Parts: sequence; C-alpha cells; structure tokens
Amino acid sequence: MKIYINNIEYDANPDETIIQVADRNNIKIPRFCYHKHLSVVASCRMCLVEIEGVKFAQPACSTPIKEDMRISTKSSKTKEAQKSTMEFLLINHPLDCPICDQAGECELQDVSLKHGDDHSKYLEFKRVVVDKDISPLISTEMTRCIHCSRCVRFGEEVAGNKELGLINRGEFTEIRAFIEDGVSSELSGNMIDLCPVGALNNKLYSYKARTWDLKQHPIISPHDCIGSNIFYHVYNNEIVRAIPKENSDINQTWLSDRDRFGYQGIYSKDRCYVSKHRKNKTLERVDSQDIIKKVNNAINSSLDKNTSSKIGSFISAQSTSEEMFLFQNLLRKLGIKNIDHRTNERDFDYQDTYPLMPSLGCNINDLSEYDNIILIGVNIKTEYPILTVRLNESVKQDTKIYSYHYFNMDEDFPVEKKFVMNNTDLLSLFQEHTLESCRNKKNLLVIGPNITYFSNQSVFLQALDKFAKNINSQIGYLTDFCNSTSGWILGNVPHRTIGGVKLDNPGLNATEMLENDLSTLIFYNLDPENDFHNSSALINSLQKSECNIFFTSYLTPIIEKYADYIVPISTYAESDGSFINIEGRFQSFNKVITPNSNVIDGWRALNELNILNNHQAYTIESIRSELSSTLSKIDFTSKILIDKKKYELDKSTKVHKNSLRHIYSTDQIVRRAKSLNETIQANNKSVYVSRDIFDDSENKKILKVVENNRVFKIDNFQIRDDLPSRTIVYSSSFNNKFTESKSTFVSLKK
Amino acid sequence: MIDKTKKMIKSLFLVEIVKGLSITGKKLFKKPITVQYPEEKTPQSSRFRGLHALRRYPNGEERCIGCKLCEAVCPALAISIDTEMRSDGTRRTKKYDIDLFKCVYCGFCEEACPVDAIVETKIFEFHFEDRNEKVINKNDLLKIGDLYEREELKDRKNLG
Ligand code: SF4
Ligand code: SF4
Ligand code: SF4
Ligand code: FES
Repeated sequence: MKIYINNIEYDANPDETIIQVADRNNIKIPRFCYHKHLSVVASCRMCLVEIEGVKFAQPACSTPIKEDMRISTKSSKTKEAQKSTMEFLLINHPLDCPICDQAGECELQDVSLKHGDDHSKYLEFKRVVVDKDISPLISTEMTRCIHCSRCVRFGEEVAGNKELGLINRGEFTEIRAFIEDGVSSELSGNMIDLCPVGALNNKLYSYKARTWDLKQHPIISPHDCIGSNIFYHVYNNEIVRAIPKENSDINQTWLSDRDRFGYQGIYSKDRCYVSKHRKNKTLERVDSQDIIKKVNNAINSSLDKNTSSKIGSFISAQSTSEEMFLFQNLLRKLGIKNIDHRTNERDFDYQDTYPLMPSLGCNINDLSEYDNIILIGVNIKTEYPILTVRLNESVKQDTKIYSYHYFNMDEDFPVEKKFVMNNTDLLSLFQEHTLESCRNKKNLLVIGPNITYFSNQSVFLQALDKFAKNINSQIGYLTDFCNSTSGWILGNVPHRTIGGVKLDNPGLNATEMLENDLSTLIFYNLDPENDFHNSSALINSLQKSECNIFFTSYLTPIIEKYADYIVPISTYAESDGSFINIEGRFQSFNKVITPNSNVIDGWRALNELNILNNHQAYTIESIRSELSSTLSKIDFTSKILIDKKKYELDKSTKVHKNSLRHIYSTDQIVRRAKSLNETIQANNKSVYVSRDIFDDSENKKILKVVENNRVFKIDNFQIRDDLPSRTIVYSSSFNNKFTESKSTFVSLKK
Repeated sequence: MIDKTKKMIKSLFLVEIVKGLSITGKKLFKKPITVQYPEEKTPQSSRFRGLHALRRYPNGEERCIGCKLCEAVCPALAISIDTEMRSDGTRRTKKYDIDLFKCVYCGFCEEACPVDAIVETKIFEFHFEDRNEKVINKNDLLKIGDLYEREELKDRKNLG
C-alpha cells in the first residue's frame, strides 16, 4: 500500500496507523499519549495532522491509513491544530521547569518549544493537585500531569497490575493510586520513563543533578539471569539513576525496579575499602599494593604444607565471566580442584548428567511461540519481574501458563492452573503426571532456582525429566544469579573445567568442602551470612581452617570475625566485565564509575595472582577473546537430563521446610539497596506455617523449631491456610537464621 | 593628473597635520574630563556587570532554587553547582562556587536566572591576596547579596 506524507511516497502495511509509518521513516509527529508498546487512546490530540479531503485535522496515532492517503505534517492547518492543542495542555501546567527533574528531557518542553506559541494568553487560575506519597521509589508532582494516561495503561497492559487510575472527570481529573499504600508493582519504575512530563519521577534522583550534566554508560543487570540492558547515568563519578537501554531481544524498553534501583547497594555503608590481614588475632590494615602478594604467599605456603585437596574455593555466581575465568584458571593451574559456585545448593548427585550449563532452551523473544509454559517452583513476579512483561505478551497470543509450587504465589499474568503441593506430593505427582491439556503441543518446562535448593534436587530433576518426556516438553532453567551460566561453562564446578570438559578426578563440591575440614578456604565475592544454605557448617569450617581468604566488596560480621586476608574488590559497575544470560547471550560492559583508590579491580587482582605464579598474564581483551572462542564451540540448547541412577523416594519427611526467594534479598547488592527494601513488597518477610502442623497458634505467639537439637524461636510467623500440608516456608531474607542444617527435617514442638 | 596635483598641494602645505592640530588646539582651552580615580569615579550604568551576589527574598529565604541554568549558560564554565533536597523538600544548592578568574562578566548568568537570584552588582574593585580566594562560595555570595540588596533594588527600579 502506498501513502504520501508531505508529498513523498511511502510504503505501508494496511493495518498500520499514520504515526507508525511516520515513525518508521523518521518523520517527526509530536505526541504524548501514544507509545509503541501501549494501546492507542488518542486522548492528548497532540498528533493532529492534516489529511487531504478531510475537513478537520485527525490524530495520527489512531487514524488507520488508506490507499493513496495524502498527509501533511507541516501544513498550516496541522501547525494551527498542534499549536491550539499545546495551548490547552499548558493551561494547567505549572511551568515549574527550573525545579523539575524532567527538565531537559521533558517531552512537553520539547514539543512546546517546537510546536507551541511563545506566549500564553491564559490569565485565570491554574489547577493544583495535592500529592500523595505513592512509593519510596517514585516521587510525584501531580499538578504537572497532562493526563496522557500512559502510566495507567502501562499498569493495565504491560505490568498486568492496574494500580494507578484516572479518577473523576473534566477539570477534576486526577491520576491516583487506587489503594492507600500506593504502587507495589515490581515494574513500577517504568512509569517514570513513560511519563512524558515530570509528574512521576525518580525519587532517588530527586534534585541530584540535571539531565544535561549526566554521562550515560551502558551496563548489564547483575540481579537476574535475564541480563536486562541498562544505562547508568553518572554525575561526578556517582551513579544517580538508571534507565533501560532498549534491547528488543531482552528487556525491550522496560526495566524491573530491582535493575533500576539496585545500584544503591554499591553505596552501602558496608562497603569494604581497605585491605586487611590478621596478625595476632587482630585485623590490621595492609597497603593495597601488598595484599595480593600476601594472599599469594598464603596460598602457596598452604600448598607446600598440605596437598591441594586441602584447599577449598567458592566463587559467587554474581561475579563477571572474566573473574570466573581467571579464578578457575589460577586455581586449576595450582592444582586445586575444589572449586564451586553452588553455595546455596544441598544435593549434588545430579551434577554429572546436568547439561553443560543451565539455559532457558529458547530465546526470550520466542516464549510466545509455545502453547504451554509450565513453571516449576518459580515465581516470575518476584524472581524475574521483567519476564512478567513477556509472559503477559505470550498469554495474549494464546500461550497457557501452568505453575507448580509449594507456595501459593501471585503472578501478574493469568495462570491457567496452579498446583500447590508440598515437596513429596509434587514429587510423586511428577512421576506419573501427564498434563492432558499439554499433550502433543509445543511445551516448555521451566525449572526455577527453588528446586535447586531442595535437599533431594537430583530426585526432583529426574522426576521432572520424566514429566517432561510424558508431555513431550522441552526443559529450560532459570538460575538464581545473573551469571550461573558462566559458573558452569567456565569451569567453576568441581567436576568440569572450562568449556564443560569432564574431569576424571572431580574435586569436592560446595557442601563437601564445608564438611571436610579443609585447611585453607578462599571466598570470592560471597556474602557468608546469606549466600550459604548452611551457615553453621560454614562457621564451623571457618573456625577449623588455618587460613580464610576473602575477596569481597562488603564487610560482614562473619568476614570480620574469621577472615585472615581481606581483599577489597570492585563491584560489577566499578570494573569491566561480562555476563552470560540464560539464553547464552554473552554481553560485555565497561567500567562505569571509578571506585575508592584502595579498591582493587576483581579481575586485576586475580590476574596479578596468575602473574605472581608465572602463569600467563591476561588483558581484558585477551580474556574476552578466549571466552568467545570457548563459547563458540558450545551448543547452548540444554539437553534433557538422562540419569540412569534410580533414586529412592523418601516419604518419611515430617515437615517440609522451604525457602522463598525474597524479591529484594536475592543477591548481596540488592540486599543493601536501601530504597528497594523500603517498598511494600520488601516488607513481605515472614515465616509461613501450614495450619496442620501448628494449630493452636491463637494462644501461642512464638513458633519453636527444633532442629539438630537447636531451638529456633520465631515470632513473626503467619499461619496460612493456603499452604500445602506439613510445610514451613520462610523468606530467603531469613536465610542465616533458618537454614542451619543440611536436612529439610524439622520437628515442631507444640 | 588632477588627483596627483591635489595630493602634492596637500602634502606640501601639511593640510592633514594642521587639521589634526586644530583639534588639539581646541581641546587645549576646554575643561579636562580626566577622572581622578580613586578619589573620583565615573558614573555607572544600572546594568553594570561587576562582582556577583546571590539575593534573598524579603523574608530571608534564599532565592536560588538550584536550577543550574546559570551554570549551563556560563560561557566561561565559571560556575559550579551541586544541588540537593533540603529537609523541607525544596530544591536547593549545597555548593555554589564561582571562579572569578574564569568569569568574563558577561552577565549571562543573571539573565538566565528564573528567580533573579544570581545578580552582578556594581562592585568592580576587589582583589585577592591568595590565589585560592578567586573561587567564591555560596556563603560569600549570599553575604554580598545581603550587603548590596538595597542598591540592587534601586537599579531594578531605574531599569523600570
Ligand atoms: S502521571 Fe505522567 S504518565 Fe501518568 S497520565 Fe500524568 S502525565 Fe501521563
Ligand atoms: S558573568 Fe558570564 S562568565 Fe561570569 S559567571 Fe556569569 S555567565 Fe559566567
Ligand atoms: S542562581 Fe538562578 S539560575 Fe543559578 S541555579 Fe540558582 S536559581 Fe538557577
Ligand atoms: S498521541 Fe495521538 S492523540 Fe495523543
């Protein structure tokens, strides 16, 4: 089909509107309410254009094109219409640009400069709207609102959670949160970007800088395995805000609040800025130039004294791929095999038959091509909020979503059927279950990180494999950290080296390392309080070992108590790095801010250790080229588990104790992001107990859990009727209090 | 040919010099206009652009709202500002420095300011004894503003 805009011919598809054709061809039409990812309401009237043969100017965003339509975006009729609209929009606008944080990037400013009049004829009173505090993340100045309703439509259509609404009519129209508490969506920050004026703004950025002062740096999200693309805006070497970097394959134009505000954790007061070494039981400050040498001597003298099997090393899966590569490179060349990143897991029997690396098994863009998506032990809303957008899209294209979980989870997209059962019941279900409605369709089974925390993970994975075969489904994984894929593929597991090559003599896994009285322990980028499922075993082995080396960005009480060497390393934004997301996409980024001068770049510290041991020296480029050559040899589609071993189904479990990944406690950086932890969702820290194991709750206010002869008293617990039988579920922010044993067996004393 | 003769006559009778000297001669008997600075001073325009000051509202509240427009417009990059949210929720500067060596006294900052906070007073006689003093901060600027508020108001009145 052909249409003419300003007398130039353009190709167009029959179902397009004028603005879509214009946008594709870079013809500027001013707009406020139109947004390419939202429905069309045509309420602002800014996009009026003249169409030949039509008496009045028509809105370009809602007018479908016709063959040989002749449109003018520059004629005097168009200009007159746009000028009048602008005048009406500005009647009630306070024009307080000098104190508005949107100034400089404000669509209203830009459009009125280009299409508005240069003076106002309006002399009457302006409308004033009283502000409400709707969220610790979003500041409001509702007098500035031009009622474009983008924020309302976003909640309804994209986030799947309508929280803001247009209330009243005419002069009294107002954007308001429906509930008193305000906005609680995990994607709420996107409304800041969508709002064309300064009505909704970034609270953390309030009055900190002006848009023209900021430097923009691209980076990849370190908070989940989706790998959203972000721009950090930096003022005076400080990150002051984050906005999405458009990537149509991953996050489109959206960003979850965790990715948008998580950077606050970098500025936590727990940051570790000095190198330390323990001498005569006290930690002493060491020059940052010397600490690497000291650490090297410690490792080497331990190698001289003991065998290399007496050294254990743990690395966080939140580390960059460069760090992971150098870490295992250093240790393996020194003959150390005990390397693991799975500090939160308990059962490792599955590891030999696991795919080379966990992978979603498809591209995020292709999710909507599946007929059924079956979620196992995963809550998209809190764990992978950005996927809510994708699943909402998929549901609109007739994908059905099923969910199996031990907790009744809310999701912001329609779920076809929810199965809430305790672990044993789930397990027996998967052995036989055939989800009839999924037969002979295109299915994707997504295994969430909660499954990997089970003490019988291997049995579960095997059962899931059977289930997947029964319904002829693909298997995909979602992992708990942003770079777990690198952990696997770059050899940070005891049984495989880089590239997933199998080792004949595997080292000890994370749990075994803590149980085997090792003499030297190396921790890279880990938070001992929260990143280990079993902190009492951890403390025990820290006490027994002769030398504990911590490479860390944060100081925690355990580190201060047990560390012999502390190397202050950079966080993700303070160093060059890369993450491999769950699709297998390798994404690199450069340093965004320069840290305190005593902080050492993570990969540089490891590189220096490599050099001190006469291994090859690397640069960031040479690591990356090595990584990409490794990755190019790998087939990323995850293979279904084939495990010959038969596991026994253990039905003796009395009580199932499961953790729930708390949205803002998933990693050490986000745990320290202050504003995120003030939101409504973050308050959801509790222990839930099913009624059948604790019935007389009304009289007793304290729940006692006896575990390995230790008694835990918990006062903020809730009895829930919707929990499956014999189940306790605790938020992962309770980790260190509640997971002191390897078993899931708990006995309750009434 | 005629031109050449004209030129010859002009240079022969020193016409230009006589013309020039006649002005000197006239001025010789007029009252001199030399101003005996610093005892005497020339009158200043109400628009004179001298040392900067930050003004306040009559109730004592500082005018500046930290919009950074003066910083953005300054062609010499003499102004540097950091802003914050003050405890009462208003936008304020926490740092407002002007480097008087960089400043070219163009007055753009005064013109850009939406609230008439930064102004250029008529003060043009100032000196520093230490190089570091060339940067004046918010405190100094507000003090200058307090001292010269009356003059500023008068200038504004003169300008209508
Ligand atoms: S708050 Fe912003 S996005 Fe929402 S209707 Fe008003 S102007 Fe539009
Ligand atoms: S007078 Fe001109 S050069 Fe001096 S501070 Fe103001 S804008 Fe800058
Ligand atoms: S002096 Fe005026 S222009 Fe400069 S920051 Fe303050 S209010 Fe803005
Ligand atoms: S953009 Fe077309 S009416 Fe608002």
